[in-house]
Amino acid sequence: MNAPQFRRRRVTIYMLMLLTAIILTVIHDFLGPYWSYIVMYGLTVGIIGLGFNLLLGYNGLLSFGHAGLFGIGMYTVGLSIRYFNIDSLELLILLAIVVGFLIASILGYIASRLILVYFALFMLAFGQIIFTLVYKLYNITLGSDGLPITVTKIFNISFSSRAEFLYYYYYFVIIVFILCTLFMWILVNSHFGKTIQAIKFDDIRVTYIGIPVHKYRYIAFLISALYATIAGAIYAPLAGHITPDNVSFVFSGEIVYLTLLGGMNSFSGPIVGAFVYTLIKVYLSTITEYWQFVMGATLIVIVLLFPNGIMGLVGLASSKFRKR
Amino acid sequence: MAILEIRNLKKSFGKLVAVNDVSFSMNKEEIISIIGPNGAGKTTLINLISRWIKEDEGVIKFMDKDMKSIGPREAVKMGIARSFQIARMFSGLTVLDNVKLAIASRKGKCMKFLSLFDEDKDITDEAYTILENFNLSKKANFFANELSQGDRKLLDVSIAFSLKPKLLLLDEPTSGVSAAEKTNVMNYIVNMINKNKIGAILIEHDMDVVFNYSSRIIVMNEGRIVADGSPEEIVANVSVKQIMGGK
Amino acid sequence: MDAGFLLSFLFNTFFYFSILISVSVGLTLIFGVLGILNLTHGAFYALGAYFTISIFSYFTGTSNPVLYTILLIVASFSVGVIGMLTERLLIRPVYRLAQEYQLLLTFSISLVIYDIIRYIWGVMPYLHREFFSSLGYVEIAGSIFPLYYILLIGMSLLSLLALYLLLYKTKIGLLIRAASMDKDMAIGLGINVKMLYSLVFGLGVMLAAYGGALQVPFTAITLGMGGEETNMAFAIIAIGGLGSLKGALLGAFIVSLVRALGVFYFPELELVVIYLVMFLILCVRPFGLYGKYERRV
Repeated sequence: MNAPQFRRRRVTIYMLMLLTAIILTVIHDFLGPYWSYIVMYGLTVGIIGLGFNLLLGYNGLLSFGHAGLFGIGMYTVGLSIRYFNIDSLELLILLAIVVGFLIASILGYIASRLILVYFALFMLAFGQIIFTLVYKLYNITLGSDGLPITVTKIFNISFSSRAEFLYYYYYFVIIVFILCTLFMWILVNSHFGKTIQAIKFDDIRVTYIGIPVHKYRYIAFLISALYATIAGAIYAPLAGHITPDNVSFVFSGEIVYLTLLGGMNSFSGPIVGAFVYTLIKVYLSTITEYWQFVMGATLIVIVLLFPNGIMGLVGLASSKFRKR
Repeated sequence: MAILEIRNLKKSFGKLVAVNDVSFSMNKEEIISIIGPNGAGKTTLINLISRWIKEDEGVIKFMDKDMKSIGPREAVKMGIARSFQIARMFSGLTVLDNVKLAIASRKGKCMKFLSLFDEDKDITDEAYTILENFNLSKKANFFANELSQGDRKLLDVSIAFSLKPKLLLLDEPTSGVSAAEKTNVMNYIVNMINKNKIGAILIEHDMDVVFNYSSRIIVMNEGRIVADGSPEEIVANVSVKQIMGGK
Repeated sequence: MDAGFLLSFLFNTFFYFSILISVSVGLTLIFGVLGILNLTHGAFYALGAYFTISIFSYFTGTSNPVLYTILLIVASFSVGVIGMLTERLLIRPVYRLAQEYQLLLTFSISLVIYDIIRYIWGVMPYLHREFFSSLGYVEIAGSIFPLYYILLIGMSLLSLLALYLLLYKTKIGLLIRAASMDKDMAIGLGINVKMLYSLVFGLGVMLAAYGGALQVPFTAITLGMGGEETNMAFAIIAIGGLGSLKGALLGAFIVSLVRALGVFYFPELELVVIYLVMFLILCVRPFGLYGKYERRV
């Protein structure tokens, strides 16, 4: 795409993000607490999806352990509240980011040298480590009973009740979401982003244009991990109560699912997938307990017939429309 | 000045000695074709010079620097670029982006994650110039995997050129290319080589290409250099005729 | 540390090894030949256990160990056939796609299988004690071991032997090994690689199911069963190197050793330690201990 075309596209994207923020803000008072929660949940999961897809769609690496990173964010917040009595939101999130960064920088050192299949197994193992630690260290994490989360202050503003907190938390989540989306969009369209994609297509050729592949993979991994950690940190106050369920392999699988559903080969795929998945899950859990079957069956159909997910179909439809 | 000096190079894979006591020097602006039957060790030699593999014995010196502890990436930074027997490229990116990326790497811009790739005018302009020299500029917005076989080879070579190397290693640049396209492909390549005063080593099987475009020919057989000289000398060489099957 | 402790420690190691080796070898075989990391392996492991216990339930009241052994093998074989069908119908279409899709597909199939199991067998645990009790206990060097455990170790080793004979002493084994080394060459030689792939996948799945089946006499079969063993199998092949049979053996041994140690020194967290060992090995050997990755340039 040439520069002027791209500049137009860029401005459109910025406008779209602004519009989304505005729409979400405006409809807030019409949503009520239940649907506000759903929206916040969708936005949170959208953040993980973006981070996850940096590795899958853009770098060709499939991670089955992102729930573990999510869990690190969640439990850093939870444990900080429980053991250090921290109740200011921004400090909690900052702590989560620091912990996530430390852990991911060690993990990334190994992960960036692994090819797809080993990477998948590695992240699978990582997710299991975090899950096992959270589940079994009952004395610290309260295991499957879960940790209660109460946050009373955002930027030194106190809230009198959880309901009031959640009301204003909604705007906070939107801001974080928009910032994360903006940063990711710039990242994948940057020189770095293009190099990461090139690595997916042919990492030997990338080496032969003088790029240290491991280093780039490492940074991409770090960013992806931080997104998951931030999402986990954001989720904890939202949920009010965190359990190992969101650190389990099942959740890792759901992250994979929503990304494929929305479309792993498009930027907005994971975001779209996050919302569709949230809605499907909410709806389906009322009519069937075989949610795994539905996930698996639709995923099979997606892989075999619609590998570009929902956004892929949208793309096909819009190009047909344009041809008319 | 010799840009490449190879002395007593040896590489084995298990019991198979792929490169056996190979020695030669190369000056700037030479175009050397390496020919020989399959299994003669030609690609292994290229892999050694481009540092994909490390030698068992012997010395490779590029620009007077011993390459012993140099890996493929550093070799690129030092000025060696290569293309591949089966053309390698970033199939999901456009032709333009393929070349732009090589330029970006050369300029050390690949780490930038806040500057937008598509809006980098300098790199885009340079990329178009290079693509024009290979007659690919009209296909700049094609995806690399949409190209014909000949164009794929050209793209691979143009990526190598974008690195502004001092030594170009081309592994069978015209293999798989249709007869109609072959002359064009070689013309573009040799044109660029001469224009930019680069040294080049080609592995080739097409004898027309070899004799029309090289200043020097090295014949390899079973890992050894059997003959090394100008095209006229090689033509007159009887043992070469035997090895090459009377071509 | 006394002789009794050492003996039970060694025994535990061998015991875990025997449970894990069948699954791991199946997994690494599938990767070695087909190039696919089979994420359905755990689901077939569970299926093997459920099949076995269902077949056993028709013979409740009988106490013939030979009969049960045969039934066990029959159950595993049946699941192997199901595996072959799965490969033929669902997995074959994705060989031409990028590896990510293959992984995603096997992952999704496993989800489907797990819920099918839930649908057919429900969430309550199943038990079958007759086989185990009919064999009784033996005393070795002052410690008492259930005879079934000994039988399990024996059956596991026998299956390894059978696999070895198949791969290295038969013609079809030769074809399998040829196809794993160079698929295109094998096709060029006229070998029916497609059929071979189905066969090997079925064989790998059968080995997984066999692992699950072996658990039946002494485990309560529920939905969560096999999760731990499956994860161990994944760790084992990552440690040993995907596609390497030698690696699977060594990996299984290392994991069993750590697990046996774990029961004494860090109970509840043996899994975490095993994974950390895996991380350490991948740190210095990104392809596992015996994994090789040839890249042609």
